[in-house]
Amino acid sequence: MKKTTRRGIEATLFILPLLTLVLFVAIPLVQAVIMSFSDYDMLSGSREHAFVGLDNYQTVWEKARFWKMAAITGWYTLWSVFGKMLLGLIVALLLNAKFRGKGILRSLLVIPWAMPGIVVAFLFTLFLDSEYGVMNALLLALKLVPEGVPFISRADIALPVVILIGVWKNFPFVALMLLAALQNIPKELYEAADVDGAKPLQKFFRITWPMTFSVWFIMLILQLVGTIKEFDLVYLVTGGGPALATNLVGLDIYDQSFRFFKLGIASAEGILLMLLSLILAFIYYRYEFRKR
Amino acid sequence: MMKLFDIVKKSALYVLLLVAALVLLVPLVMLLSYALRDNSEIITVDARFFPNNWTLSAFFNVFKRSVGEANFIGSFFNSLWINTLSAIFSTYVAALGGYGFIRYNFAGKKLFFFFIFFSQVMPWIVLLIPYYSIMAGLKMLDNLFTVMFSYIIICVPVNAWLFIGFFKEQTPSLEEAAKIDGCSPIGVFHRIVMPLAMPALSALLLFSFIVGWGDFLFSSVLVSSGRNLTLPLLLQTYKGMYFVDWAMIMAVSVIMTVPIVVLFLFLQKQLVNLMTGSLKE
Repeated sequence: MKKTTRRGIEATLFILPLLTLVLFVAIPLVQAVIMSFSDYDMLSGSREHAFVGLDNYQTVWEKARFWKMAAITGWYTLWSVFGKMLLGLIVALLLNAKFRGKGILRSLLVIPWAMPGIVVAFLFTLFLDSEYGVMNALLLALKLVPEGVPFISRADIALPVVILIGVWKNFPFVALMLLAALQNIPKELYEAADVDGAKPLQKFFRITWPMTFSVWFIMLILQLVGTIKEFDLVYLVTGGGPALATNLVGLDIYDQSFRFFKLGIASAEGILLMLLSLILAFIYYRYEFRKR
Repeated sequence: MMKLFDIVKKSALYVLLLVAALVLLVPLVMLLSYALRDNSEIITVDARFFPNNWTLSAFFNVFKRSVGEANFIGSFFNSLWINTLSAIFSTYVAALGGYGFIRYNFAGKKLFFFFIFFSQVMPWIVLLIPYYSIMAGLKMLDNLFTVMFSYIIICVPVNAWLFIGFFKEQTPSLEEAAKIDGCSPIGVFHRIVMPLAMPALSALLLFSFIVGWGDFLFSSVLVSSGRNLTLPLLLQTYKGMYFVDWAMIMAVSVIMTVPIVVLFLFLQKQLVNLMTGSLKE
């Protein structure tokens, strides 16, 4: 057998299973696009799904509700990512310093990461309950608040609360990644800076920051796309309430599809959300391959 | 003067450390403390951080009680087998593909890489709607294989992406030596590459396992009957319209969480290595 055909067969053996499974992502994606252009209402009972062009997109686009949800999703994503990146950076810098007991902190970081999302949701729902929650009992005992705070059932605090829960769940991952990047910086650079009499802040901005920027940037993109697709935590803690104050686009897609069975509308909203991820994925891709 | 500054700096460091440790630890301690008490000490305006009476009654109730066809043992094994199989399958296929991706060249490689990356970052709900509609058409709803397969297809892109990063760092010298000794490429992969990748593999098996272990999104849509409930859905059944059995929810949560946290502690380093590998250029 010729050598090139042989290598071709070998490559196929390795790649084909993966390619097949990736197709199982691609096929539903195509189906989602088709659905977003059709009158796909499972409750209407008709089996035929007429092509309606951009009707679903127009319906979504003209709904004031959609834009409100988009704004909430935007706020949620920005603050959540900000919190994760900032806390991640602080904890990573803390763990990179020399002191006893940092091994314990490093180990503790796996707790939020490993805890199943649904468990986190139930735990915080109970912990923060306005009547029975231990959090309020503590605040009251310390006389920090006059009466129990309805963390989850008051419209103006529910969003910050779910953001904080998401930050708690996900910042350890950022911290561990940034820590690994910090530890990759050659010690000689700092030694040389010490010889030159550099101040700590100078060292941070002249060595630490430029040396870890690429990991930091990639984490930023990954956290943005990851936060846009967060669903479980918010849905299980607030269900989008109170008064739709935490109704992220993802939550509405879920309700539109699986409570009201308007799959066409839901797909249109889904495709819009996906375009956002697609743009971010593209930025990441360009960054990753910029020097090749 | 310098010494004083050092002491202040050191104590600031430890205060920060203490705060961080508390923030991380308190929810887990709270979970354990909730699971070890009666509902009467949970649903009370005077809920304490630690209960007055420690009891294992919630755990006994979890094993005793069943709602219709749903019970803890059944759900536990449902979750266990679908996630074990999906973890093994998605990790194996991703390892195979990631290895092939690095060692061989083929047409459309860059597009393929982009799609792998994109399919791990796209919102899963966008995948779920057509998946649900396709599976409804095939009369495959309320079927645990359908749930398992959904976990496989959401795990595979991430795993493949991580393995591509991992194999990029590995030199092929040992593989070449084995090939000269007459070993086939697939043989080399199974006898040399896989055993060497064992730390990465075990970390990724765990990482894939927990995707479905804590999943609510896919299972809530794809499963309807009691005997097919997974653990996250079983938790939901304890949340009735008028009464929420918090003690049982917390007991099942402990059973779901503690083994995973312990495994994570052992595999943390491997997991971090694997993930940073994929971020290197």
